[in-house]
Amino acid sequence: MRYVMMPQAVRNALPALINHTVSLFKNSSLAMAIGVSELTHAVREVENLSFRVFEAYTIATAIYLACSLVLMAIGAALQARAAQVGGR
Amino acid sequence: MITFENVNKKYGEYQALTDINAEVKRGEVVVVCGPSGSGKSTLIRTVNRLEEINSGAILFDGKNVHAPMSRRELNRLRSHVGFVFQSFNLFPHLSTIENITLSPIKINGVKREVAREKAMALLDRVGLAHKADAYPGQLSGGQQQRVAIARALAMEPPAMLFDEPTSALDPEMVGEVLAVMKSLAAEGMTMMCVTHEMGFARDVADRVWFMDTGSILEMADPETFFSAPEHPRAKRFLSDLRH
Amino acid sequence: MIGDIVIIIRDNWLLLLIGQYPNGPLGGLAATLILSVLSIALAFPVAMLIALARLSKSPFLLWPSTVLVYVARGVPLLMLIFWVYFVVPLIIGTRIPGFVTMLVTLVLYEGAFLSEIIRAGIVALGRGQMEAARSLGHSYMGAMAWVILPQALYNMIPSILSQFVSTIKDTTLGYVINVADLTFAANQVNNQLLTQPFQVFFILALIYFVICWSLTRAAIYLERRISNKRSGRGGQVPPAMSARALTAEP
Repeated sequence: MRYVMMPQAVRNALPALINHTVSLFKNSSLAMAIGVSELTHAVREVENLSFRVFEAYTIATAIYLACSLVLMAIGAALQARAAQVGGR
Repeated sequence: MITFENVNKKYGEYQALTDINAEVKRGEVVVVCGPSGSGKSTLIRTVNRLEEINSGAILFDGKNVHAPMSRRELNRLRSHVGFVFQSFNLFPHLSTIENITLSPIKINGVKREVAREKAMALLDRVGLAHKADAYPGQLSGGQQQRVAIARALAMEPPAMLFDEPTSALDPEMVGEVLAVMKSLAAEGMTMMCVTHEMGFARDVADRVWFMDTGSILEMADPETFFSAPEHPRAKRFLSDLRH
Repeated sequence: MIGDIVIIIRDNWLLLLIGQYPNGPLGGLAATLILSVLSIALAFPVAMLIALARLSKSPFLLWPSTVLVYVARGVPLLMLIFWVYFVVPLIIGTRIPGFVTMLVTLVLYEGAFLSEIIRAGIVALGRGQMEAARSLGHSYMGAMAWVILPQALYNMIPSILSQFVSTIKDTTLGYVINVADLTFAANQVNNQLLTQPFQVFFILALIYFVICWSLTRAAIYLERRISNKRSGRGGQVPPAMSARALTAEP
């Protein structure tokens, strides 16, 4: 199990795992529904205070995008390394 | 019918085809053989432009396949050449008869009933009329390839191209496919076959082209080629085959 | 506790089912289902267009579709909903009703994810099918329509249906922009009762679970039926997939 199946299993599961990691990161925004002051919530506060709707939301989108793209890039790099090692 | 004029092709830095000049006459059966990597598959795939070329011309029935042309013209040209793949490439989501009737119906506008009749006749000819409603997943390799040949014939092409049609088959099924190809040749079909089946070449081919590293090194009739090849690499290839 | 749940359902079933209609817009389960079905129905053709655009060679099609997909994958749905709800009216001048906002956002968001699934299905088929179709004389779109897409879409049915289930669940986010859907109705019931939040939200969860679970079962049934028709087997699960084969041996 440890030397034969798991390495291959992890390699195959990597794309799905990366996707889920990104989803997890994005779903943190849902915490605002119960009052957690995370990024989306903070942006709404900023928007309420400054009335700069467009800029505020653009900044938030940019931050989310940047983080997600970094996560996806790490995922792609991991997959490339795994593919090398796996030799398939 | 098929003429290669100074055809050259490169994959990046690698020269896949070098100065090919050859002709397949109407009604001729040409077998292209050679070691792997010699470019024979590439050559046959340039005939219906599945592969592009860097220079030269390939004339099919007088028209240059590689001239700039509209997509519609290219599609029409392709429908006049039958191509049989090594991996059959039947459409698994359609039944046997649907595989055969799809193209005449959608491309040539043939009516469904007429297409079905013709398809049944073709299936009969390749010996698979009883499998008309089966799906490719239920057929053996040899049966699938015979259906693939029938599918290509459904468009009534004046010429047929075969890219290693039996290389992916278990040995006991090679015979049934070769039998279909032989009957096609006997009816006067213009055929260009890339194959390792030397028996087929000896029995049916009008000419044999030997290729290695992208060039046609020898062109001869089967008698001459198999008994007294001229080019040293051809000699080596034939002696390797015998082992 | 079960008694509580039954009482809550008995007292509030109409509210949960259709919201405050006719005293307000159609809401509750009906609204959720309509929103889900509409989103899915519109997202599917949009997804096919995006998938084909991502596979095309023309930069005019390739770049916008790629950007759309990356934005959808990188930005939370909640954020996108706020974008469409607050920012787009500033750009075009009129306010958009919540339901339409949710619909548009869901179609684009789910469409982007669905397009990735469809694209994966197409790519997984390999070159052979397209080459065979083109060799017979089919145009690119003809080959797509008759050969590639039927196979790709069928092969990806589990993933596609799973995306539909996600869409149904994502409709609840309309709650933040006051779209009258099932979650909103459940919240109203909860605000009335105040002392039984667990029971109320348990009912909510149960309803969503039943809908999504039924969809998933339907998918499995559908897939097995088509698979048997294609391969002529009598309804057995392929041996490689049985869980038995993978459990530990003594």
